[in-house]
Amino acid sequence: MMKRLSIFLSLLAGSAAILPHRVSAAEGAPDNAADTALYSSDLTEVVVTALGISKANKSLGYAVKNLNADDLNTAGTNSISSAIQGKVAGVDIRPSSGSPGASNQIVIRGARSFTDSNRPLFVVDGMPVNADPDFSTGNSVRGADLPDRSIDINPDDIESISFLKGQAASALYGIRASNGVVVITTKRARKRTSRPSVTVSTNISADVVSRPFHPQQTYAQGTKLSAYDPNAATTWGPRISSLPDDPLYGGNANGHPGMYMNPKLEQAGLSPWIYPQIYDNVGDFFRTGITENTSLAVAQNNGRLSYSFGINNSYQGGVVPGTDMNRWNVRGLVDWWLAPGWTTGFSVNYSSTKIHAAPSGNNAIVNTVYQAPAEYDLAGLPYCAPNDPSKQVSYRPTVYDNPYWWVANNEYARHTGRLFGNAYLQYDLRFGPDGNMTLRLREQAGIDCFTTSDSDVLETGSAGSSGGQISNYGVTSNVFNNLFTASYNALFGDDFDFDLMLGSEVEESSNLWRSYTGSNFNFYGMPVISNAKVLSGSEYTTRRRTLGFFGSVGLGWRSMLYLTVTGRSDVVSSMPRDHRTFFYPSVSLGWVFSGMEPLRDWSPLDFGKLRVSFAQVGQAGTYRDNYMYIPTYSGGMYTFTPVRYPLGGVSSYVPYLQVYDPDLHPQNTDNVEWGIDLEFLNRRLKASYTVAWQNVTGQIFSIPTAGSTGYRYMMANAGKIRTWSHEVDLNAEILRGPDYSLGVGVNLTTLDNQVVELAPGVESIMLGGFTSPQIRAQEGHSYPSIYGTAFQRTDDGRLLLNNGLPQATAASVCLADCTPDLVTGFNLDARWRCLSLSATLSWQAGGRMYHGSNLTMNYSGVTRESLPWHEGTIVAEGVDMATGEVNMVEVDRQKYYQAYNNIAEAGVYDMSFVKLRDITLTCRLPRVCGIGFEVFAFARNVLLWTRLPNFDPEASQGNGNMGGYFERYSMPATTSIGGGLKIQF
Amino acid sequence: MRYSMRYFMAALCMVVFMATGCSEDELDRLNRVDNQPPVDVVDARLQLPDAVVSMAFTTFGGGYAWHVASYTEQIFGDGGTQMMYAELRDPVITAAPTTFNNEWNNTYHNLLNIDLIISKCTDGVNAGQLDLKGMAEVLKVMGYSTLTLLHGDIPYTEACNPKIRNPRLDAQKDVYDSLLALTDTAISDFQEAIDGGMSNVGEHDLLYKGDVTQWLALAYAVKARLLLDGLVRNPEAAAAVVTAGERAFELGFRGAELAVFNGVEAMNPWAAYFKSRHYSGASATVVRLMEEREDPRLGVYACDTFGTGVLWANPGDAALASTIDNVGAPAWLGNASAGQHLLSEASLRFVIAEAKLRLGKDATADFQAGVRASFADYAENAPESAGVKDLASEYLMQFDTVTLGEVMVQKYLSQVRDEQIETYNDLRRLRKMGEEYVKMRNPCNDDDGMNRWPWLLPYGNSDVVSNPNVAAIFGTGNEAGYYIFEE
Repeated sequence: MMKRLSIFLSLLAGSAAILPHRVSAAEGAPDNAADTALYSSDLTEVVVTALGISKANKSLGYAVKNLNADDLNTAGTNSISSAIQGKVAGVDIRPSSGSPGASNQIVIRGARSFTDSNRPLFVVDGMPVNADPDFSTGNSVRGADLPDRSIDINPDDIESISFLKGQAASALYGIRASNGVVVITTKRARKRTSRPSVTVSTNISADVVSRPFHPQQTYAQGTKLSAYDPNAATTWGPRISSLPDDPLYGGNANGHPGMYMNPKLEQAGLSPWIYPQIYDNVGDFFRTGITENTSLAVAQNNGRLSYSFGINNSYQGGVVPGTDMNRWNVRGLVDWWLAPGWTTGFSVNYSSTKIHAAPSGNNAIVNTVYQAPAEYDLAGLPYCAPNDPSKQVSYRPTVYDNPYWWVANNEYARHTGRLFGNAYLQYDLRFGPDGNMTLRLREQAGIDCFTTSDSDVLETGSAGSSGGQISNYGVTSNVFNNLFTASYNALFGDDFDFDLMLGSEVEESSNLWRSYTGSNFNFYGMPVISNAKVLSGSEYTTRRRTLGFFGSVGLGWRSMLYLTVTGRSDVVSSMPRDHRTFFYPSVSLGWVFSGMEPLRDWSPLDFGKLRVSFAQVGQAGTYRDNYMYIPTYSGGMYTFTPVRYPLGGVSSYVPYLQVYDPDLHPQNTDNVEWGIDLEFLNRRLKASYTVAWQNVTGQIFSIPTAGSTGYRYMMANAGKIRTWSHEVDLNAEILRGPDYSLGVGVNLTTLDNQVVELAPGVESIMLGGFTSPQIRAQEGHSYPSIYGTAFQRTDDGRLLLNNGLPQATAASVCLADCTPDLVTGFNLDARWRCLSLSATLSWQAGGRMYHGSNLTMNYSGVTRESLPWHEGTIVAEGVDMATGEVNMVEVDRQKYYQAYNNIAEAGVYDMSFVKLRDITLTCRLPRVCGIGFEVFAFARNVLLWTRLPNFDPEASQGNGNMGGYFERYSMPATTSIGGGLKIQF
Repeated sequence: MRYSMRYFMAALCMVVFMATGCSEDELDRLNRVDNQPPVDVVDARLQLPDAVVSMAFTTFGGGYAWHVASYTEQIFGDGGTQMMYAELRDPVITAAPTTFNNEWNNTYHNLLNIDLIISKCTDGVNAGQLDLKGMAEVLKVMGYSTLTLLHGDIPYTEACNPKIRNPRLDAQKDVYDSLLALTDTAISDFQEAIDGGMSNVGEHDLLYKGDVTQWLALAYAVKARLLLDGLVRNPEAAAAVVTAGERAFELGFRGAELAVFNGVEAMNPWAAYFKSRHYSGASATVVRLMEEREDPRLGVYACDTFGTGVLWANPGDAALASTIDNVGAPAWLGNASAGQHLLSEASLRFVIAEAKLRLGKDATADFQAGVRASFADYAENAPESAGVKDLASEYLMQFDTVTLGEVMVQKYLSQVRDEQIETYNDLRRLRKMGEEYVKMRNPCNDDDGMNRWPWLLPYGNSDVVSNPNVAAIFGTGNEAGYYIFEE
């Protein structure tokens, strides 16, 4: 009885800070105080659930995945997303590139919102922290990537992560929980020691482009085979070897035998006559990057006080010159057992993150690198005119920047200083006839404050902004969070376990947004706002308060049946008057059927549980009274802002483009989850299967409206998304011995994320991209999908040809659904004596993306795929539009290939891939003089196989819901190889 | 007991704190953003500047004009991308709902702003300000008449109403009749404002600095143009065109031109577009007409902008259309300070001249005044041609008699500068009347017997995908949008 009581208390006791049943007032802190992911005495796994409550995994009626520090791939990366990729079923992570500070899109079990964030809530040491990007990249067709704020978390500080994937798991977090929750616990001192433990670790890696683009090197710049054209935007010119024969630019007939003339060289102050040569412009431009992580941590648990302090530096020099990231993290964490029953402590994290990014999309610098004709020495020739550094020299008109000029002159800088953490006071009381009841009162207050200052600098002479421009913008964000909880746990007799928790939470946020722009510099060389001739700026503040009241009741019966019911009511300031209060319930049931006769004695099965849960959670929107604003003129065909108010001292206001529905009510997500967990053969084989159904109704989003309404958007409730997700986790400990082990794990996810309905009359919603193509939420398709112009076809699918050439539809149509059929992660863990080997492999089957680089470079005759199309003619298969007969029109192969690759549908590619994400070999040397050494070597993102031609499918545009599926001259993904060292004493 | 009271007080404080923090008033206060004034409190005078700027910059000087300038062959589209496809009459651009989506949306958004001004002048914060109301009404006529002439049947009576998400379409004729009536309302409002000595707008009027008489003149000018556009349905209206047009000049009409551009913070829309894209070149159709008349404006129309020696291009020349920074462009496209017309003096003179000739009256004076006004406009907005203004008299000597054909040619040449939409309206109107004075030469207008010269512009994409009433007309599949090629 007493043993069961002890175990029970250990499992059901309160927050992450302490497990009170083990704390004897006289003894002070236990050895494993504050442990959050450990095994109790009967090896029952304990996991962190909502609001930091530790529970026995076996008692849960829903799936929670827990990763410990050893499970994370932290070497060679500074991103938490990268560290967990391939590890968790149902958690989709899409990196935008391998650039320093690159954004990642994390979505758990599919999207719930068409246009708002689908990122889960991040909770670090009990404090909810912002992990969204400060600014959206909008349609993501130009400019540099903007990082998400999860970049401020140092993955090396993490002790464990729990993924609360289903809504029942996260319901206690209320309105923030519908996207799931990632609960992070940072490292702290575990074992009681007489002196501090010091850990120094460092790793360094060399980074290269994971899949470098190789352009064709046969044909020269030009629009047709018969003539070299040093101003052309395409590479459909004559063979490079025949350039000296060109009638206009060739030297054979113009007194320079064997040479040809490029007038661009004259602009650079050189002789225009040169011999044909081949240059590796792509190889010349990208450099070997470097990633370094160094940490120092000091920690001790002396029985009454546990502390942990650490400092970390992460530096990444990108493969694109001029890009880098430098981050410093400092953290401190203290738990102090004040007096019998009383505990206090704090956790504080500071980070400073500086990133230099490079533009992608329409003003990408890799565009000019990839498209450079092989006969043009992009690296060797000057990038500006002699005596005029603002006058670029490039192989084509300066619609795009010469990349070397860009590196020397422009920058996209992002800097964030951030402080987050919390302090708590906790009182624990054990009472009852047998001490079978506990009461915990816990008060916790925290802050999350950061200031981001970004600067986009375009020096005088930049493409699209010849006068130069600087945009300084940022946000100062302050979030205060107060959480009070009262927990009561009891055992009644031998059969019943009971727990009750009540609490309240207040969260208040304030964001000051600012933006200042200066354009047309007085002179080159000082691209700062004070040197600009035209200035504009804006500042405004947004505020939000959420008050939540919640409760949870749990009942267990004979360690076999576990029922949990929760409820939470939130009041949110951002909703309209009288529509601000929401209530969300959840109920979950876990049945450990292996505890029943006759299974109890069936030896192959150690553990078997069925679980089922239902939950309802919601999301609040942002409501405003309809308002007016000062309009701006930019975008569309304009590459700058042509008109700004005030005009001659007169300003103007117009109605804002979005109208708000005063009947806005909370969006609702219903979730039902079923699952089974099985453990066999002395727990060496573990299998888990979860199927989750999720129905989102009454979404709050900006409904795109017909322009003829006068508005562009209406903030209202509309639309439905229905999702089925299937997740399988298999883990096998194949070998186990005193000095060796071999384990493998597989996780599989399939997802059907259907857009059932948008708004009345609305068929699709743009998430990003161009007019055509773009990424959309499309009614009747999975989320998201690719939308754009398609080939005109006959009813039986044959191409309709106009004068022998493919013809596009005038209107855009749905071209493909993006979601992969199956995402699989394989994990390997092997150990032999002091050596251990771990590996993570990802396999994505299916999935479609729009790949603008392939498409446009096919069109331009740059790719190797275009080589067979530079010469000759073709009578293409298809039906002639004018006659309805089989096409007989013969056209140039080049013309056909260009017409074909000028239609968005041709840019949709299968993005299936297999990638070895990480392989790490570690050697733990025997301790010498109390000093432990660990050395390791690793490789990341190697051995890529994919159906996508020329590029890594994990490089794309956008830091929002379109992320991962739309590419256009995006920054490249990278491969890293390196090693590291860890010293502990 | 003492401790109990403490706990009770502490609990009470907490409850009071929570209750205060939850009060609707407090939460309303938190949800207010400091730079977002509610619609009802903003003085409608502050809405007028952008009503004018948006009309000039977006509706008349934006994407509508850039594309139809190719259809009218007043500008050659090049650059190898979007405007090349417009020049080659590729339905991917000409019939696509996305091509004019920005202009469609922005014009309706401006019309919403204008409706709010009228509403506020009726029973809002500007109640009784008839001068401001009349200005909004004139602008409303200009906006809707442009939309219906370009797109055909359009949302009108149910447009700009947030309660109606899918506005129904009104027949072009009904829109037209309603706008004529609205023009008369504006005239009446101005007259009453003048009689009442109203001067409510002042510096917020970027066109006439609050001169209500000028606005009254513009209202008559707009009416004349509207009546002319309706000639195809009502040939009897020619006399009314003359009456309204002449009344405008009697009131001192000197054109409606937005001249706030200084080339730095504010740039002429055509110049800003050209600076951004270099998609516009000189067209052989204009060059030929100018050469035939030894027109001194030719020197600023066809220039060696890029030092390539290519001064102009034949409409539909695929090779030149695929190049950038090659074909020379009109000089005024480099002048970011140039004005942008909503309605020029020259255009109204030619409107009157055409109506008079159709009535069998002499139109020499109107014709000559129109040409002189055009020369002055060229001179003013293309600094290189400052001397052109003085050559008008000599130029006019070649026209012994004024024919309808020459009036339309001169109107065409005059509107090359910044009124291409009006030219497009004229060309289609005249074709429907069985007349053609400026022959379109682009071979891409015909594709194996299939017409590819747009009779209409496709609806904006926002309505095509979000308004079933528009989607039904736009169509689906291979033929989606191809209705624009049918007369």
